[in-house]
Parts: sequence; C-alpha cells; structure tokens
Amino acid sequence: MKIALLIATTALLLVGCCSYSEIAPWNSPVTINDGEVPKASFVTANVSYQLFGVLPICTGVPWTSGEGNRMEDIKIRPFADEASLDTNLLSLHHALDLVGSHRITQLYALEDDDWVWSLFVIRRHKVLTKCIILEEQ
Amino acid sequence: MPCFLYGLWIIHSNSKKGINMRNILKSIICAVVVAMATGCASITCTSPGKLDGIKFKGTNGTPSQLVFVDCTGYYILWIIPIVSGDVRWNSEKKTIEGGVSLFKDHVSRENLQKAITSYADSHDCDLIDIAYNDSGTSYAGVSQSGAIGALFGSTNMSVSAVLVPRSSGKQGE
Repeated sequence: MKIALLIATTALLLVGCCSYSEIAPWNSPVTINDGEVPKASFVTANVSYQLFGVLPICTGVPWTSGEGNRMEDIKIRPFADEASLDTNLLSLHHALDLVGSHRITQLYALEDDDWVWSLFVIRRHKVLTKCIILEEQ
Repeated sequence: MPCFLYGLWIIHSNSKKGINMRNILKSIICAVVVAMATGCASITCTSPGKLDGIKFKGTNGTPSQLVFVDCTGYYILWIIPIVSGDVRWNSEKKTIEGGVSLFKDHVSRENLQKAITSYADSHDCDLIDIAYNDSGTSYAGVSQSGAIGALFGSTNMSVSAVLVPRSSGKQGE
C-alpha cells in the first residue's frame, strides 16, 4: 500500500494530470478534400489516473469555459475521473461556440490506457478527441 | 473489479507479512496478469444528445453517437499470443461485447469492423468519419536490463466512428 501511494504521489508530482485543448485557425487558402477551406482544426485531450484501474486518484479538468485558442492547464481534481468522450464533447461544444460555427468533419476519438510506467499499479487513462471545423452553411 | 480485489489482496497480504522484495515481485506479476486480462477490449459510446447542435459534413441527419472500440493483444516475441482482447458482436442482445482470450489472437481490423458495422446496422444507422488506429508497444523499458521486457510486446487496434440514423436523411455533397 505504501508503495502504491508513493508511486501515485510521484506520478502527480512528476507527470501531473492535465487537460489540453487547442483551436488552430486555418489561416490559409489551401483546401481539403473536395475544395472546402476549413475554419480551424480542434483537439482536446484529458488525462486521469486510477489505482488498480478502478479507484480514481485524480483527473484533469475539461475545457468548458474561458476564451482564447489554447488551454493547457494543470488543474487537478482529486479522487475523480473526468476523462471521457462525453466531457471531451463538452469541450468541443465550447470550442464551436468560440469559433462561431457548428459544422465539422473528421471527428475522431481515441482512448489510451498506459499501465507500464507504474509497473501495473496505476492506470493512466487518456481520452483524445479531434476534428476539423468548417464554415457554417 | 478484479483489479480492485487484487488491490485489497495486496493491502491485506502486506499488512500481515510486511513489505519485502518477494511480495513486491509477486504483486507485480499478479498485476500484470490482471491488468492484461481486464484491459484488453473496451467499447465506449457517448451519451444520447451529446452531439446535438453539431452539423457534420456529408449528412443532413442528426448524428446520434460517437463510438470507440478498442482491442489489445499481448505477445511473446510479437508472434506468440499470451492474451488478447476479443471484440464480438452479440446479435441476440444487439450489442458489442468485449472479452478476453488466452493464448489466442483475436486482434484484427476485421473483428473491429464487423463489430462497429453490426452495431450501426442494428441501430438503423450509417457511419461517417470512421477512422482506424494501429499501434505497438515494446516492454524493453520495464525490466532493468531490458532483456526480459524485450521479449514481450503488445498490439493495439481501435476504430472511431459517428453514427447517423438513416431516417434522418443524407446530403449528396
């Protein structure tokens, strides 16, 4: 138990638990696929840690408020797990509100679990969602 | 749940015997087995209504769900399967089920594709924005010398797609 706690504390100190979101404006006349110029591309990722894959240790906080094109924060919410596709879609809605268009393409999701770094004691769960934002029609 | 029970067992055994290297090694071996067995296949669907208000290129319909299916296999020398995720379509329950197979390799794009297309078809939906991802991991960094860990490798395949109900119509772009 002491070892598990030690590893958990070290993980928090060294790796951190952060969420990352970015809206990258296209700013180019270059078209994609069938000749349409996108407005921006968007990516959001959130990370959570669980002891033995079940007990929540901490989680990053999804981007649901504030302005600007980029959010990289080490806000940590202890004993919770907010890294999920549902919370990533909340960040997507916020990004679409900021860009001013709700038309997208190439929505992609990825969930990635990593146990090896902690010798299989703690699961690092990363959920990533990305898409391309198009002009409203 | 097996991971949780394993955690309780570690706490219990360490409190009785005290922490020593043998206990730690035992714990690690058990953790490896349990983690491999429980984390080999996963299916995630977003809650209803989460995509409301978003328009997708190529469809006039209202997308209903973002679905992600993931499958991992662990191998000796990248060839001999130890344990692998088994993603199956259950036609009776009309759902994708994730299981585990010992010493068999069920990690394939065909299995993932069959699962996600069957799921969409049973919900009377078509798919848009389908994307596959394949990756491999070596465990050379786990052991101190790298010699033991280098014997093991894992392969992960996943697919992500958006479901659009057929009844909501398509746009010919």
